[in-house]
Amino acid sequence: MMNKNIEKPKLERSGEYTWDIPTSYKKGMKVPGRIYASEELVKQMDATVFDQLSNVACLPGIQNHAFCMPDAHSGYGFPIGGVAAFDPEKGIISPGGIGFDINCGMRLVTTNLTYKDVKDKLHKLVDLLFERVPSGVGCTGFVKLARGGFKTVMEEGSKWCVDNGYGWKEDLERTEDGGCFSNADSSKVSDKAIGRGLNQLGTLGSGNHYLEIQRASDIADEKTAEKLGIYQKDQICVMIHCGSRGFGHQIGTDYLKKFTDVMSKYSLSVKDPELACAPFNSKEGQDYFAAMSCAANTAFANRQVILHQVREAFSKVFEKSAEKLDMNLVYDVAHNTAKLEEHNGRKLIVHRKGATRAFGPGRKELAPLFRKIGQPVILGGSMETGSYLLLGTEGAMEQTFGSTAHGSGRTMSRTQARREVKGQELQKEMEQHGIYVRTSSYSGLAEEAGKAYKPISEVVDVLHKSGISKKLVAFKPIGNVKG
Amino acid sequence: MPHKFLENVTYADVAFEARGKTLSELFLESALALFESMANTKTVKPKITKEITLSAQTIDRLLFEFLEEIIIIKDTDELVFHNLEVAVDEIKKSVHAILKGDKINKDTQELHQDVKAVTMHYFKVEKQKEWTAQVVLDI
Repeated sequence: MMNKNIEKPKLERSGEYTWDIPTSYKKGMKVPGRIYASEELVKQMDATVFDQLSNVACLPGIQNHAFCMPDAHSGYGFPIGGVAAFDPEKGIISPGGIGFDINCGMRLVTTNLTYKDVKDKLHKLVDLLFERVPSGVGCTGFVKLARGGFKTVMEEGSKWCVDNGYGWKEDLERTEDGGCFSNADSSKVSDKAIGRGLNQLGTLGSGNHYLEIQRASDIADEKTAEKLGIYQKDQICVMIHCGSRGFGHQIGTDYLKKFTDVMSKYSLSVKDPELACAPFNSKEGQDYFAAMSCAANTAFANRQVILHQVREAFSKVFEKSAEKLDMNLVYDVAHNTAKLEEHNGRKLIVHRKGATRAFGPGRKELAPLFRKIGQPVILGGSMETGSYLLLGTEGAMEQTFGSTAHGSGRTMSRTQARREVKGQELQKEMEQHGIYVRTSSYSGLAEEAGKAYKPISEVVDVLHKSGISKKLVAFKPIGNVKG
Repeated sequence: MPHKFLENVTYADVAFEARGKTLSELFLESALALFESMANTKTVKPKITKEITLSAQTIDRLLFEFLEEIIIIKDTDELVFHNLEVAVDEIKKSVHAILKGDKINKDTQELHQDVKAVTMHYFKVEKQKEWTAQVVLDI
């Protein structure tokens, strides 16, 4: 909620790209708030972001700072772009610190095609992707599962997909946590959530979710980019942005209600009902952690099944196998999660909401290639501007519990964007600019117009210059399937 | 206007305010706002009927769970909606509703956003001269 009655606090500049909210700003703040932003980006942030960040700073067990990334905008409970780490013994877990769309995330795939190869087949390709990867209200996927099978998906994530022919073995090591949060327990998930999730595997959904065909427009470090399979300008890549659909949302809602009802039992009070929480080590906290992990695994599986469909579509249009087209996964990274991680020798439960893990070189959780160069970070921009591939850094490990931004962040409400932009006109304008877009909803397309988002290059500059991520490749969109 | 969408209340999602002289009217208007967020209701035929019967400890929670149930039906039965009839019992804090809609079909219906959750973000139900509710839907 953008509450116009909230005044922006007086921020203390703690670095060239960091701004602090001191603990004196609000009674109950246990740590300061820290915002990563340029002067321009911090000016653009709505006041509610600072209010929400200071509410997060009041939660029990929080460590160091409540962090806010440069793409932040107001959310529910936590701001979108919020990061907070809690002591597992004294701290909490909160669905409001993860988001309803659990493990909404990004997946980047290479091809060995260039813009020249794709240009004349772009319409055919996007039309086929639009047909093969369902999007929009209540869309259903082609994978038909009984409840028992779906429970395996919940507990195994991407592995289930590879075992069932929807992926390559090497996709797993190029997915955060191998595409499986190991503490998932399907017995902690409600029947309602399962009912909503059963038919949604392999679907994009709507909102800001998309499947985009892009061309590499700028490579900052050719040697490192080549290690990830990106070796020339105009090389075609595919980006997928979606999450756990209605299934993850239902788990979020189920436990938000449960936590609201049990907070008094644990003498917990919060400054915003969307921050309802439970002690991490309580039964309720552990149940949510296990259910949230089921949603995270289902989101990994969702993007894996979509990748399978993308490979099939490219293979059909270009009459070559996906292997021959070098359709390798660069990485799959999660946005909305809480994870138990070790930082400076201590286990912490790190919440990232609209924020990405950005582990630097040397972390044991990463596959050998990434252990050398740092974990890939995929930043999705608006469908009109472009996206980026970055790498996690030592700086992120030292400063932000190995975390960075997730996208460009909205600056305009959906209602306002719909009033100012007409979907059909936008579609024509985008085509004139060389971007062919298909959508299930023209009003939904209008809501995602480029003008509704912050300029992504400014967000990326802050991440790069503050040292919490390293710029690697910039991409420009040429085709888009909009949810 | 018995319900209206609120501009600049939320960036990434949809907010609405609903009004009613009675709780039944309030629930009806809230459900219609939810229906309209998902589809142009005029393009949805009233072919399939679904029933909702719920009770809760408070009226706030009853409205929250009523709207949540509609979202669950949308996903589980793959439906969008045309209209509904609602009766709320204020004393028993219960609701009974009959929803009319049709299977989702993007060729024949004008679809909008896939609403995925009701939120508690600034969620409120109040009675002054009439009943009002403010709801933010997660998209």
